[in-house]
Amino acid sequence: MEIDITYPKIPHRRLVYLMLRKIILACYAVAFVACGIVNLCVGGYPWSLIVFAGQWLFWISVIERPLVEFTFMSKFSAILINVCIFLVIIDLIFGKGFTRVVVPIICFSMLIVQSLVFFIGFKRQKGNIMPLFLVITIGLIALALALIGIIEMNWPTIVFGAIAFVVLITCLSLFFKPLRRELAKKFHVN
Amino acid sequence: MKKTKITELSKYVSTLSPSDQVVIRQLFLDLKSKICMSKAQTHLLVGDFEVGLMYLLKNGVGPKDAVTRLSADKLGTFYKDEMTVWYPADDGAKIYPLTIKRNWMQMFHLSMYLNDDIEPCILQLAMDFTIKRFPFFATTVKKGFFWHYLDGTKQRYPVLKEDTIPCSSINVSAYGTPPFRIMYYKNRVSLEGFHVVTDGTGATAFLMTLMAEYIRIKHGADIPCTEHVRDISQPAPEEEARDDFHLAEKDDSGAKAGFSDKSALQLRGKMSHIRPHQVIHFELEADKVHALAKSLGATVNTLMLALLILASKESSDGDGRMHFQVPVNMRKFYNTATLRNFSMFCVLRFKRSEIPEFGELLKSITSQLAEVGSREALNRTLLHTKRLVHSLRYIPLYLKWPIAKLIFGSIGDRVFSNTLSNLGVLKVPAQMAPYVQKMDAVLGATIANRVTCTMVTCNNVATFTVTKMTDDDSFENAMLRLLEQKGLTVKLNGSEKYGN
Repeated sequence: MEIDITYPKIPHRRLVYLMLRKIILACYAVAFVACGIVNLCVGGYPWSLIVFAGQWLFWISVIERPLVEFTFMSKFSAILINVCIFLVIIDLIFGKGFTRVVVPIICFSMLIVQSLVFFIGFKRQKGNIMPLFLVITIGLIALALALIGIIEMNWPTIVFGAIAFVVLITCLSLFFKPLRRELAKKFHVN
Repeated sequence: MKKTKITELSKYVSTLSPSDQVVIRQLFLDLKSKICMSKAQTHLLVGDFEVGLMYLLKNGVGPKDAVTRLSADKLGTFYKDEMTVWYPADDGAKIYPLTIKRNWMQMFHLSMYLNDDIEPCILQLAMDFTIKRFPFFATTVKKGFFWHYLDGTKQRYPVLKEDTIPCSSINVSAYGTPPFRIMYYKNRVSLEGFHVVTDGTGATAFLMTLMAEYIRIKHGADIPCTEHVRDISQPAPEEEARDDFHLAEKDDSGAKAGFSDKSALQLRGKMSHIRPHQVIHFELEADKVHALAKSLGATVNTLMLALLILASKESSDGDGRMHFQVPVNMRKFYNTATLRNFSMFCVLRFKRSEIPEFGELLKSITSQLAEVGSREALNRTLLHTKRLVHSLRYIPLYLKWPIAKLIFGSIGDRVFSNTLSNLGVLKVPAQMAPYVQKMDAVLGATIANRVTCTMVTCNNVATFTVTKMTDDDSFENAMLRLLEQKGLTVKLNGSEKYGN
């Protein structure tokens, strides 16, 4: 069948990123099985969970690219939230209790950076309110839980909750109308 | 002292008469009053006018005429006012962002071919003027807590030189990337879009309006507004951006509707790692196709479906069930002006070994279409879609997403053997017809189907397009043979085989 070619010649592009993902997934699978088997055989601390959590953290931070809305705010927030989860897993396994201090510090640091990015570039960032509001919500819930005694009341938790409260009030007082519009978009159900 | 950059346009304008210079200076003053964007975007937009004006002046268009064609009023308030519009994904499109993969998304591709090569600077200006008339195109795909949505984005939308495989994915995750692209190659302008925006009807309206404006600017033709060519000087009516799935009527018949089905027999061929692997257009004389269909007592759609089914039978093996997807434009059943997604599909079913000869096949298709393609049957599917979306509305996106991917990944298009999407006869206004050769459409890559097909008729050229995902030639060879056996002359054109 002879066809008159009416489309431009496209250079053959190697799908490097997709190949890399497949290679890494294969390595992950091997590590997953190997570490799990060794840990079960040798016994002791369930350190293989830390390996798995580390793999997950690397995947989220470096390999994974969201298919919709891949912004600095969403990526930055996702990485730090996963770092906190990773630290919690380590703490649960080794039981030192350091995450009671470390995680709130990471969270309020994240909130400060998010707030700066949000306020300075508001016009462009107003569509990225979800990561900011997620961390604000976590901060307020943490402070509330500390006040009623469910979690330890320490200075990082107080600072985290306080900053979350201040950022929320600042957002609402400076940008109430545009934020209301953005929240209507983000939480629409129709 | 401030240094001023003397552009080629300024040099040319300085050679014109004082009255012409005043007219041109006024154009740029009016232009600046219509733009309130970042420096970079403003510079690009003003640059479009400079380059476009220069092209028209160099090609013998008088200054006053050129300025009329490029009137700043045509920009409207799109580039000045704050963009506050946004659109929830319509019920038919909510699935699309949930099923995006790394290198795959539901795409459509519609092209118009002119008699001359495309002038990019004029096409860009036509785009600058036309985009405001279709505000749901001027958007970016965003993530909500429950559903995705289209967020209005005020920016200049560039036209691109075609340098990608047809229907290749759009990176909608990047900031400000619209869910569509306008590309040009030789004498062809193509609109490729993510299906979340619109369906064939909306795509046709956008492309026809864009090209009408292009022809008005380049040739000064007076092209009236019609069913497909919208008036860019008027604001877009709200009804055009509305999700009209709510028009589905209550059904008391008790008949079942749904999307799950048994897997269908697929055509021969190993799926290529680059998809689509090839696009082939079969150009036919529309009046001869119509005459043939009439002589057989069938419609053109039924005729092409029969040939497609016979070609599919020849290019498959085994004795499984063959299902053929036939999208249907629901606008023919409901009173709606929407340009968003408003199509459903019906399915023709055959056991491969029981597919009859051509004459009997035509009757069988006609009878099946009368049943599954009826208003009542399609209303049930519409209602089912609406109810499904309604039942899932309070489930957060992060839960819906992996489940939708899993279900779509395992079912997807495996329930079909092939598809024929017939956009029908697309009439261009008489004043536009002398500049237009034809139109065609390409369906995006599939997950399991080896082949999908479309048909578009414009200016007496009926283009039947095959999008194939494999290196196997049996389907298109069979299709060519069957068309020629029916006495139709076929002209073939298309793409190279990608990935070979």
